[in-house]
Amino acid sequence: MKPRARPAGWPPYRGFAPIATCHWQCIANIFALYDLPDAEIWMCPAWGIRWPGGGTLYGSGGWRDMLKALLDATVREHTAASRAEASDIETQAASAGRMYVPEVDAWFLPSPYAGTEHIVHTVVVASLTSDDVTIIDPMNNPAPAIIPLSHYWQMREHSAAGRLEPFKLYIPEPGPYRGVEPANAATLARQEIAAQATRSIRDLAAFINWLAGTDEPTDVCRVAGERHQAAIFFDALADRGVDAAKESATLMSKLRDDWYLLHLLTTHEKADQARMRRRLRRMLGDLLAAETAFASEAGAP
Amino acid sequence: MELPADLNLYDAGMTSHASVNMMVAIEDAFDIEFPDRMLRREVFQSIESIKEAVTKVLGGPS
Repeated sequence: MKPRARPAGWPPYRGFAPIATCHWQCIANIFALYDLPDAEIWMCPAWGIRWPGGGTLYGSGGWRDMLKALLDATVREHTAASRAEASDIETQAASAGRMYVPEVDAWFLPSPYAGTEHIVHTVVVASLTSDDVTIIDPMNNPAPAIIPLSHYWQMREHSAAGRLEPFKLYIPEPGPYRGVEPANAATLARQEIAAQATRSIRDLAAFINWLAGTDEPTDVCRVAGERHQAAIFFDALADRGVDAAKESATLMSKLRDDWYLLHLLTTHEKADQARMRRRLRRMLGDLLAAETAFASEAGAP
Repeated sequence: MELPADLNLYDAGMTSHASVNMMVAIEDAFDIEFPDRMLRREVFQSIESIKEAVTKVLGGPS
């Protein structure tokens, strides 16, 4: 399909996005502007776990490939080694009429974190000039705000909790996108889960073993975010009459709640104390069993 | 300010993060450990429900 000219207006406001899901909300809002109003429910048909070592546990990270397969939507992901490189990428995107989604430090945005906490957040950049940037923060302030370029680069550059890669941003290619046929989406998700299962369960088990021998801080917010978004996906399938997805939706809802609780506990200042570490290991053991059960159910042919 | 024992603390503005802070503080104060099955939103939603949970963990009548 030929890319559409950018529609007039602004991406619609979608409300609160829990931890590690705000980038999906921003991207879905851009998709919605291109006539895919229910985009937010299809944003993460992905499931999996990756552990490259160290304290951070990752989800499958396969959502962009899955969106391509599901919606024929391309989302490009960029990081940059310097502000100059990031600026080049953003200028190029803006010149082509693209809206894009950069990671910023919420300290500098009108939000509950303003002036109190340096924490990573994402916004939609609707336009960029040599003097200013028009941003939309769908979670905290749906009105487009024009901010000076110097202020924008401050929020782009500042270190923030949860930021692992420098100058990260997502650039959705313009629509039109393909509408979703729920049965096809269910098949696609099942195949992906089956493909990810062995590696994911192995990586989670390895992470738990590692945790038993260290007091290092841990971060599971990416898995928690992926499960939150995947729960929306499976609920949508079940609501749209895909009976085979009902049990998966129930299991995924429980995974969402348990990973979110674990995320809250790992961010607590006492997360390194003996009682809390015992609890984290115990809960991760339960999650290993629950993830294994989910993969068996949702990935079964 | 005095809070009614049955006031829903989440409705009064308590966040998930704050509820974890409270849970940890209660464990420290009473030298107890809530079992994982009690780490649910409804257990920490009011002074009344928290009192009931602490009583159970201490082995008292529920």
